[in-house]
Amino acid sequence: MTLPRHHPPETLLLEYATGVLREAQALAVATHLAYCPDCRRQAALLDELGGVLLDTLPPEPLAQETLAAVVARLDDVLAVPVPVTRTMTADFLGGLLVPEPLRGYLARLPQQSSWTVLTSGVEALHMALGHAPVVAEILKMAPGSALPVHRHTDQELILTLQGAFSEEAGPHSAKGGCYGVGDLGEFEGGSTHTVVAGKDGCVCYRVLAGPVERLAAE
Amino acid sequence: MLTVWRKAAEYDRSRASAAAWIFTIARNRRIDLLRHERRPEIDPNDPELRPADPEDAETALQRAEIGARLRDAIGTLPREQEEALAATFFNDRSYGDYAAQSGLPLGTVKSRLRLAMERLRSELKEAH
Repeated sequence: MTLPRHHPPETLLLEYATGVLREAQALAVATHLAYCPDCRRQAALLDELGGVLLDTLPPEPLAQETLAAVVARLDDVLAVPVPVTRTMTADFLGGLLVPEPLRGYLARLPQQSSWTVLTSGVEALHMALGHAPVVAEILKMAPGSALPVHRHTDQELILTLQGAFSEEAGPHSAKGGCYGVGDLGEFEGGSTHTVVAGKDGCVCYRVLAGPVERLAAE
Repeated sequence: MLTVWRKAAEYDRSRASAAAWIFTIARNRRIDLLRHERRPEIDPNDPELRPADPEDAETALQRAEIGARLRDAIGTLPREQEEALAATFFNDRSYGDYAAQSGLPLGTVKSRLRLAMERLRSELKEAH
């Protein structure tokens, strides 16, 4: 089992740790962590850093009644969450095993969710996460298929779940830019590129923070 | 505070120090309150989780020391780096917002954060 080679940049991990990352983007980072023990260790270190920084914050003065009020609430009965039992979830990915937390999100997709064709050989399964203009989706690309050359107005995150894709005509293409299972690609706003599926095709989770402009006709 | 009390039984000291654990609870509560969102997290018992090399596993003892070592390491950071870190952790704003608010270029804030993390990591390695 090979380990991922493309990792979230430090600042993205930091935003995940501090909690400012929105849910759709955080899902990409968290699922990358499942594939990547190194980044898990980094994330754990950032949590420790949060603990130390929290500890060094000057204490906030509390009203005198606060302690009594909190103690009084200790015995409140908590609503016990009802365990979600799912008899049958639609298998959108044809038996592909995906780690948590993405697996749970896929299992909660409405049964009637369906794939839309983006371009020849490329289908997308929309996930209702975040508000417009944010788009979170599963991309399924046939072997060798490609997205039309496009320009991002804002950040794009792509996490590979199966197969591989390569980035071409973009800032990273000189380095080869091949993204296999567990690899997380972060492409900043303003970048122009296209994504081409490898010989076995690929399945990815992708988050677009803003609209995409197509640059050339197919 | 109540959440910390109620979740105390779930605390696993092999995974995080108590301070880090309390930080994560406070952070997740804030996400819940401010944005009504969940924070997607790995499931440590997920069979699909790619395991770490057992030789890299930190012991609970090492973990306990990390807090003290981090504290020392933070003390060695230049003031502006420490400030950028603290602002990023506690103001519920992205580092981009911090940049806008402090009038610093985004690149400067990013590089301060990166430098701070590099420094902390190297301090932790030396302390081993």
